[in-house]
Amino acid sequence: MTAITERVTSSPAHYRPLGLAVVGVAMLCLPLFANGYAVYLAFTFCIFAVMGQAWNLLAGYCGLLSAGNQLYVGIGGFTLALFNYYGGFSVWTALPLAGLSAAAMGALLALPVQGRSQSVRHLIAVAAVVLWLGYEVAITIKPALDIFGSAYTRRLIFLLIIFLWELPLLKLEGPYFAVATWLIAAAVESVMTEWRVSGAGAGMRIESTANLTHLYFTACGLLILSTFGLWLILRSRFGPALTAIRDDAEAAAAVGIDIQAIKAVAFIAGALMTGLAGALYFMDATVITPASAFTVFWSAYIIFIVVAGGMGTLTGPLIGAALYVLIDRVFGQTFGYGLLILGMSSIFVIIFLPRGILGALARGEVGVRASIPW
Amino acid sequence: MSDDLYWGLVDLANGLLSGATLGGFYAVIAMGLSLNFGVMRLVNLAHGDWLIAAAFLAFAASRLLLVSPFIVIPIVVLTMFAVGYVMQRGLLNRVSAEAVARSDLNAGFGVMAPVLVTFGLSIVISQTLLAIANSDTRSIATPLSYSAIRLTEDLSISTLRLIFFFSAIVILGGLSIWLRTTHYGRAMRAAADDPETVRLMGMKPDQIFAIASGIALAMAGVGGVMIGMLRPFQPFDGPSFLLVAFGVVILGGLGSILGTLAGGILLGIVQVVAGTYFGPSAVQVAGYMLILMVLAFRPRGLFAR
Repeated sequence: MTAITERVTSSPAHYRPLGLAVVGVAMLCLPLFANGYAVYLAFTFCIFAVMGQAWNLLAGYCGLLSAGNQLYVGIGGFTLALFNYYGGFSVWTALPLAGLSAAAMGALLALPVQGRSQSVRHLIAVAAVVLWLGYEVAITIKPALDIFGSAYTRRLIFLLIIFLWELPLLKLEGPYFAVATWLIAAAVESVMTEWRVSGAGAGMRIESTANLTHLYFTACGLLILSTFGLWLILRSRFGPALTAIRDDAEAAAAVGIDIQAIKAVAFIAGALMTGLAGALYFMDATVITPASAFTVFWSAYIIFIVVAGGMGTLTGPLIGAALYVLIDRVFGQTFGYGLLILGMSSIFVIIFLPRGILGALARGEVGVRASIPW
Repeated sequence: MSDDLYWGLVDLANGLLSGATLGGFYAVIAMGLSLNFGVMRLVNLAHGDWLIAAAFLAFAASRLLLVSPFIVIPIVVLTMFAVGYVMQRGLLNRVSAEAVARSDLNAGFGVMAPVLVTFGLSIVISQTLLAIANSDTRSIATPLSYSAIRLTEDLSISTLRLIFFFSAIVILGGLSIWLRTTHYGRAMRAAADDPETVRLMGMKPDQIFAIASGIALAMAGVGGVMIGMLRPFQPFDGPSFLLVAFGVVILGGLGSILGTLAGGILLGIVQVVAGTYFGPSAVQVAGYMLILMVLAFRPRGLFAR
């Protein structure tokens, strides 16, 4: 115990919050002196860093290794596109809605795990089925009420929603959880590929009024907010709980931590962050297709970012995202073969820097990662 | 018999037959992944890309030698075995669960390390294929790919899929018997359960893992040739086959050979039947929902050990 305390007080980790604050201020000033390309790179960095933080919250602290975070990227992006195209919403008004719908998707998947309210959950499912049947009847009487444009897709969407509500996703473990999240994302992708309203496989255009500087400030603000938020959470009494779950879930449960509730909250928060970041990404890209929005490569990049940077640490995803932008955008666009280099560096990092870059930098403070959360 | 009932029965029989034969193909695709997990506890994200690499290898070999893709299967299988052996010895043994346990890294990392390495491999393989062969779709279709055996006037079955189905039974059955009866097979099962004790008994788990990995990739070789004969392929098709393989392995229970075969057949039947009744777009969704449903009720698969 004394050994750990000693390491904590003497470790550079003590100064990291201050360092992060300096980096944050510097990033906010970036557009004042940098050119457009640098701002674009910084924008990409912020997006991927937010996604990394979200995944890290799940994997690094709750032990939930998701391979399906592209679900929220896609849901966020398509919500933005649908409100923008059909509702005439500006992208800035649609952005919070995109985050909300991603969070709602997260809630749909995460809430069923609450053991105490099984019967309430089934009641809600039954109510949803009744409402759905009522809607089907209403449509046969008055076809104008059908906003889905296709009976097959409408039924599939309702069926999928009720199915996912009944699925106890957070009870799955390890590889089963990872594959299940990927399957859910793939299922939603194939629905979107069929759905004519969302442009079927060809996707949608987003009429974006946002310029790069505004996008950058929003992404940067989101990153600062989520990093600071995580820092606050880790300092609050949830912090030790999260760290305890990370280090030993059984022991954490034994001392009275409500693991399922904390996991569900983390899952929904992660969905919100990823959805917002995804929507921001597509505000810049302006074209969204099911294949680009729901591709499993999103997960692959995110996992690379977190594990290469340092899993279960607050600064790890930031370092990983910087590395990703450097490899994929800078090297990739200059020399080509960005992905090839990304693949090789992913192997390299694990073989030679198994604790991630942050872990390698902090070599010598062996016990630190097990005792403090950042 | 009324016409409606007759056609209903024909549809159903068709769905069951072509679904079951499709399932044989799925089982072969998934077997390597199952073996990887069963023996090495390795979640191999590069499996789909190895399948596609094998398809490209078969394409290149049959073009160079000017022979039918069936003839080059031994070449593909032996090459893939060698690749698997070398990859395990040179790379994956360094991040195996056992290697991680011996170092002072935490357990969460033990799960992530192989995942990230195989993710890197997956990208390296598909990018290398892209650099060599560009993104055109290729095919190694043989005349058999388009032929069918007529069972009744309205019921027929694809010759190729039937061949695949019986090969799947022979291959998986052979592997199962080999694992049960031979010295190396038993050693492999022992190494899966407890590599440390296997080491104490004077065998080398690293060597056993390398052979298991070789066999897994040899199976992927057969699966890749099957993919190439059934449909056109291109360098980026790996992940979609990986997802199918994961689905089959999960349906059957990780590491169970007969479970893999049963899981493949179940998935094939559900997909084809859903396609028959709800149109081609339902094929994928029905498969995904089947797997999720099995996970919901039996979180460790239908035939978990």
